[in-house]
Amino acid sequence: MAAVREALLKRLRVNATSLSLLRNPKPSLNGLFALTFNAVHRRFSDDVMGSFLDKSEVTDRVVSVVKNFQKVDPSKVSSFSFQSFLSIFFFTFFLNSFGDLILSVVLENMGLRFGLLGLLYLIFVSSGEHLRTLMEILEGAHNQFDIPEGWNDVGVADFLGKMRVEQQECDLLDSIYDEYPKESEDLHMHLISPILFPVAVFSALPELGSDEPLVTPDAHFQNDLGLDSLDTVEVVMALEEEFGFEIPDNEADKISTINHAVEFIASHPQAK
Amino acid sequence: MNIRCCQRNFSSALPPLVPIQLPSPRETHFWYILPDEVKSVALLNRYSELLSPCERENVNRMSGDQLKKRALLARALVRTTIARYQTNCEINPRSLKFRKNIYGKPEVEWHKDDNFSPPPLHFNISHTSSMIACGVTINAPIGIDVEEKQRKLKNDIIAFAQRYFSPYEVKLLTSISEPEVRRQEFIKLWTLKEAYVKALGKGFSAMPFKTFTIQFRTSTLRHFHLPGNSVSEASEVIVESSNDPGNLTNNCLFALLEVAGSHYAAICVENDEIVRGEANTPMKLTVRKTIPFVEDVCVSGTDAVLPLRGIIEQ
Repeated sequence: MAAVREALLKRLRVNATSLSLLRNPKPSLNGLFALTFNAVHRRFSDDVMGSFLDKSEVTDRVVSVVKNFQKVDPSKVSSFSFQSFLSIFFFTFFLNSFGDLILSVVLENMGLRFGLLGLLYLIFVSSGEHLRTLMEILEGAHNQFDIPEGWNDVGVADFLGKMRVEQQECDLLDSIYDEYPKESEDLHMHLISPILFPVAVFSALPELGSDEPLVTPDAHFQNDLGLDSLDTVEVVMALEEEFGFEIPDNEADKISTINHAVEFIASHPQAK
Repeated sequence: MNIRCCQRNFSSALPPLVPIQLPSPRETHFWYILPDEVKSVALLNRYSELLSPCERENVNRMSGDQLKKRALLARALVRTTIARYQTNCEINPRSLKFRKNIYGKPEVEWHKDDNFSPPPLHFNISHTSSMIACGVTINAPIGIDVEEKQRKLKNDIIAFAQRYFSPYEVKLLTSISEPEVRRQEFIKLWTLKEAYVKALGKGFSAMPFKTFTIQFRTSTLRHFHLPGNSVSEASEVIVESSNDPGNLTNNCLFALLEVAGSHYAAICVENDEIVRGEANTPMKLTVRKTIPFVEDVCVSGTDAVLPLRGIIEQ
């Protein structure tokens, strides 16, 4: 058991440096953190840049505003936040009872992407490891899967939209099997086969029914993001708040893609 | 029978469309589909066959199955519904052509033919993720809008109203203290305003929502046709232009309904036949729930249709 644990920990700690994208949590007016994934170190003064905003910065900000309006079918993407996941972790750790209840909670509510972490939890609870080990694993998972700081709901929603963990999960579990056949046998009989196999299978399949479209600069509000007329007006209003200037009503209808919004905003000197 | 206007190109797999009577003047037909009830891939494929290549490409351009299905059902609903209306010959839904007016409102482009006089049909569609609706009239431009009852605003309602609605409407919404009731009234106002600008064929840009006010006026209706000349109250919907205050544009009939227990639907019909100043003109409304080629149920007068505002005769 301990050997398997070592193997897992070892693997979880690699590749921390490959995830080197800077994340700048930027507070939006709603108090939620919007993450800009192309962190550009902003160093400009009004004198140098003039009063027009830089297009790539505008694009980032527009994309993060629009993401708040994206219609996500709750049945397809897990809305179970990582913090809730943690509290179940610790709650059930104290009870030291796992099995069907946790399995169903983990797999169904967490979404299959988190199946691996739930699996890890089960493995270690079953061998009676301490809280500290759990934290080590989570920290390793943090590095491996680049879970955003704070683990708040919006961050997780972004994370879910971006991650392609399935292959990583499968590779990880395969390599452990290969390295520790005996321990794996034990685990397999008692724990893994009811859990690992479905997790691995489902993880390897394309994201099930996850129609959540990516908010890219080309995204069309209606055709790609499924926004209707009320949503579009709401987006325009949110953009007005974000950039601090009024977008006239007769222009609002013409903003039908992210690029339109960017063009419009970048060409207006009043935009902040 | 003029062969030119009758193109019998139905594939053998398509069942014939059940014909229906054109609406009479002052009558409005409201059709709706619940997309969740349409699951058969074979049926969706049939619908796809009805579309023009251009429409099919537009559908395919949508991201994700849900959006594609929604777009497909909307086009199929319009084509099959219009084709069903009895004219002097059968119309193949596949052969209908559409164009847009200068503001982007779709309309039927009838094939000009010596012997074929197209029916003066007007239509308008609206959809949410869980309902697709089409309104049809004769001789009168129509606009409809449907929204889910449960729909929540991401922005604050009053802030949104202050930005986009007229002062009268802001006051109305502010005077409602219960947040849930306020939200519902907001949605009702939004759908009525949308329906109005769509009926005028202009859309939001050409007709900013601040430039007109929707008001509700309680009026008493005298029912002459009932024994004892009974009287009831109705909530009439009127619209006042901000540019021309005091001049109530009374040539629009409005109806606001709750449909299928889940949606608010607003209908606006422009009607020049209405004499200015003549109040209490009812909108004769027939509501049908449908799945093209499969079923067609008239739900007027049932629980599926709850009149909320406007003078409606079902």
